[in-house]
Amino acid sequence: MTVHVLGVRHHSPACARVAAWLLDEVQPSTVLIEGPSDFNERIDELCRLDHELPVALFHFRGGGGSRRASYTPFCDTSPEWVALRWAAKAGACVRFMDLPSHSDAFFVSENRTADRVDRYAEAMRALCERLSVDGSDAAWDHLFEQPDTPANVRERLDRYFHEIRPPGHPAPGRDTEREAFMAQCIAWASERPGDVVAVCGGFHKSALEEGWPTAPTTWPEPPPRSTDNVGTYVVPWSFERLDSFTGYAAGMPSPGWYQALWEQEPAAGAEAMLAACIEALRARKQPVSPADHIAVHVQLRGLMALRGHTSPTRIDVLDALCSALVKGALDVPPPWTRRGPPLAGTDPHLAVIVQTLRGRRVGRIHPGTPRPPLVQDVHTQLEAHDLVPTAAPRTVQLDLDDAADLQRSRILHRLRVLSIPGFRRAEGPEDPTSTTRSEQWALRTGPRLEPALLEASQWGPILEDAARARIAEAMEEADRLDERVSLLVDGLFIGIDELAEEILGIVQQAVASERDPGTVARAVRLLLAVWRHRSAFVPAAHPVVGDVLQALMSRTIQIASELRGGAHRDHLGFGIAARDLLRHGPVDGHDRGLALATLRRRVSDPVAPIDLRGAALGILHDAGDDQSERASLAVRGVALEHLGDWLAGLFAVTRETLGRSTGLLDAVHERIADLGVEPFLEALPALRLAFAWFPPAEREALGAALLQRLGRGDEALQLAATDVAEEAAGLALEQRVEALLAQHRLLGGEA
Amino acid sequence: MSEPDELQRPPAELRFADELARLDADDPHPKPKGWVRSPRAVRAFVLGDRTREITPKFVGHASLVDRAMVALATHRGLMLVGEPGTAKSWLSELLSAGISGTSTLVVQGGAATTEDQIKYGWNYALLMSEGPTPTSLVPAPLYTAMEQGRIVRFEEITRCPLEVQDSVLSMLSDRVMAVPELGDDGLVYARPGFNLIATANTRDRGVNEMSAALKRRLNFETVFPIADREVELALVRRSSSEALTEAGVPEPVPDDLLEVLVTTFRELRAGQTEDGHVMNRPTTVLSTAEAVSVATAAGIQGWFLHGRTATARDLMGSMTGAVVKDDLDDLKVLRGYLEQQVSHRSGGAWSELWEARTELPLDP
Repeated sequence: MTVHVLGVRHHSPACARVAAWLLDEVQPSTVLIEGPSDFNERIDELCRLDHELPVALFHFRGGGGSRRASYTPFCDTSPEWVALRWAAKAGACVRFMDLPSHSDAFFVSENRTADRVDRYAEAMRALCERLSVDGSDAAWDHLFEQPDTPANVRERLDRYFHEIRPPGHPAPGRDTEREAFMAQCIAWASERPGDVVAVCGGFHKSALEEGWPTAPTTWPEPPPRSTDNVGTYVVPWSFERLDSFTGYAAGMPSPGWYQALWEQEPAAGAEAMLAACIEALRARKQPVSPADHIAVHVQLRGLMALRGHTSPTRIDVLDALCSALVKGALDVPPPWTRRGPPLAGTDPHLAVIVQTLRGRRVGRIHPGTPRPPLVQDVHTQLEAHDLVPTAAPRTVQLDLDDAADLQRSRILHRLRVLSIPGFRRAEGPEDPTSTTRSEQWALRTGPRLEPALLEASQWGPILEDAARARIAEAMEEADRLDERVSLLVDGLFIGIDELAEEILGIVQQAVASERDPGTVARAVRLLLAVWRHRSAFVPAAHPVVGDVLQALMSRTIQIASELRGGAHRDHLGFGIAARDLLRHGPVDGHDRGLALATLRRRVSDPVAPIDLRGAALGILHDAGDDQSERASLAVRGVALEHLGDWLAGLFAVTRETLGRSTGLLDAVHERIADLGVEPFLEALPALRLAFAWFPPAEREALGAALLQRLGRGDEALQLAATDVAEEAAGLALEQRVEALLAQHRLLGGEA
Repeated sequence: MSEPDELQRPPAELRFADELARLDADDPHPKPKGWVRSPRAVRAFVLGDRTREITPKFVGHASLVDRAMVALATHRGLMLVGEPGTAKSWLSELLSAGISGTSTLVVQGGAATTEDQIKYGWNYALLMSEGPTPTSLVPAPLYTAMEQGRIVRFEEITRCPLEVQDSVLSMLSDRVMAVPELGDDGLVYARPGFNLIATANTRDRGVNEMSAALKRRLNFETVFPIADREVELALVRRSSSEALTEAGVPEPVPDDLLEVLVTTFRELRAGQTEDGHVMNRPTTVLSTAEAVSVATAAGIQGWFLHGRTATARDLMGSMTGAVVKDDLDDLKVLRGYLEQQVSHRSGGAWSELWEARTELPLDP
């Protein structure tokens, strides 16, 4: 009996080839693979069903506040996949040897197979420096993804992983538990007849080799489950999600590239991918002349010679394309010089190239594969809440004041968020803080329902999670505060508690980069409403909304301190937002002090927009710092052509208080009374705007008081004369208000 | 030539002569025609090689250096673009010293650059007495580089008038320069090893106005600010203390101040704090070179004016000068940064910087 521990990098074609070679050479009777041991009973779903790769094992753990999901992806170039299929074909005993997927040890990081490389950044950095390459991916390709005999590659792999983590080096965090478990599995296998091949992440290799000879030889007991709501399913996966450029930490970048190298001879695969890049660029109308094409090849040969490559590596091809095709300055470094998604501002040529090397393949699971839990969860929830769609359209009327109906509304909104066809909202409140209390839905089943649910299972195992994850992702993709806030509004319909911190955190990020006062004002208006008012969808103030509002306060201060230029309508809404934040928002003493200091500076700042200056004074007054005298003084000081805009800013925030100050109105009157006709007409539009903040009744009272003082009180009656149509509209509005008040039993006294 | 020690700034090939000698002693790799050493040796010279005690001289992406060398080994010229202070000229100097053994064939681009400063001029006394002969011709860097098969450097090429930029076109494509005054003998064919490294600064009149014909003959490489904070900090620490020693200041700038300086520069440059808060960016370029000069100025101010090591106040003074250059709005950006970010940070040097905000000039 011999035990072979093969350390690999997930999804590496070189490692997949070594695995195939080793298995053929050794012909083991037991094959152990780093993977969730709780799936062993169903391992045939992977070994024997014919899936179209990539697919993934989708793990979830529910219950309480620790609901989590993770994935173990497989593609053709995964050494683990090669081992699984080899064992099934050869009739060897095959088992996953890692802790069960629900173990706490996995939920420290998001992906089960997250690279350990970053934890050993120092070793990696030294290696990259020695090889003169940018980063671990380039180093990997240089060392391993070159044509060579499997035996040589294996020997180099062993040396590499030895350097990354020398023997005797303890594993970080919870990996110790995993390694003990895996070592015991190997010890168990070593007692069985025949040889053993164990395939694990290269990071664990030395620890397993050291650990198994002294480990107990029984199959290890799995740790107890903290909840019964756990599961693992085979789900379709895609190259996009496999690509580390899209954020999957354990991925190899550019899965399409490695797939090509796997399916063809390395040189032919590289040539095909290069041609695909040129074609993709031309398809997008990016000019690539024959001379450019030649230059790419010349550059590629030169880079290969310099770097000592017999076959082009991914970086060689990318570098050659970059050299030959980019004819200008780049705004951000090429995406392959760092890990993670490409930065904003990546050159369009390079973005197309990276996308081409990623590939578009989307996996499909065998029809006989057990379905993921979301499908079941949705059907169960629909049945329990009497929402099962029928072939003939069916209408559901919901009273949102009824707890059961509100719950049904949430379920339907979650399905809507996931774009599941057949659940259409016909009527209902547009805004989750609205007081509309009813909704109408049209339900209808169809052939697209089931596939849509299957696909939506990528977002989560149960409906609530899936809907939330979907919104979170849409938020990540949206780059403007506007879009994110409207997604947030959308999200409130599924319940604010489900909009966990991550989602509000994303909104918060957008806040920090927003420069438009109008957008900030709209965000403040909505979020303050969510913070302060209760509605069917928003039952209580949520602390994270408070955090976003604090960020908005900081942003408001920043914008208020920087705005310059002429008056703009948005400045008025912005002033109101700033006032309301200071009045009602969760603003701490530091920010409050900073805000007031900024406003004080801007009141008399000659480069500040004139309406902002008026608003700044008003907000200071509103914040309890009496400005009535200063306001009168300012009215006398402001240039006439700016008076209207200045007053508009002031009245936008202080109509109820300073707007009634007789001193201020006297000062305005003094300025206007002396005007000739021409200047008056010039000042009129802005003045009208300023006084438009007063409702008609207040305007009338203002006018009457003014006439009184001028000794023309008898003309006051004429002010009230208005258009009949307007009057009728007013009466109608009044009736509606009364009806609403009556409906909610708010007409005090008379009842 | 004088000894390097006696020069204010010796060129790279003199300053690192011993390293180049070490590399030449063991350079078995193939050399492109006309190169004095192999691309791998040049790469070791530029990026450093611990095993042979070759110091790293350029901090940046290794793949950029690879691509640049391959471009130079082919018939395409190399164009280094990037923000000011990203060591483009330094990289160009290192590459030409490594590849052709000399980095001194330089054309400095500017509004007043003329063709005769690039190609050739005449010794007018000889021209009058002898007429146009090879003896009366005064070769300019491009001529010499072609004749000797070396690299010519064209600094700040985009600052030259477009027609002057285009005067190098035929030399880049046909690799021949015509001197019509010399008649039939007046063709200078480039020897192997000749090529051109141009640099241009993205904040100047960018590369967009450059003619398509010239662009096509150049491989563009963008040089970026240093990505790694620790590496940048180490570079600022080393360079500023060297500069201070040179200036006769015995005390280097304290490390916590340097950290504050480098963090501030990096955050303002990126328009984002290290913990991910997005904020405004100033219009000025906050390069590593600028950080070194800010640190040096603070050290000099502290020592010569106050007789002590630099403090946050000294730093604030020179930092304001670096951030606010020709756009007064940048002062607001800096003030905003101090108020929004620095005011929340604890820790000695950050608090000192916050205290030192009073050094900021008032808004105009």
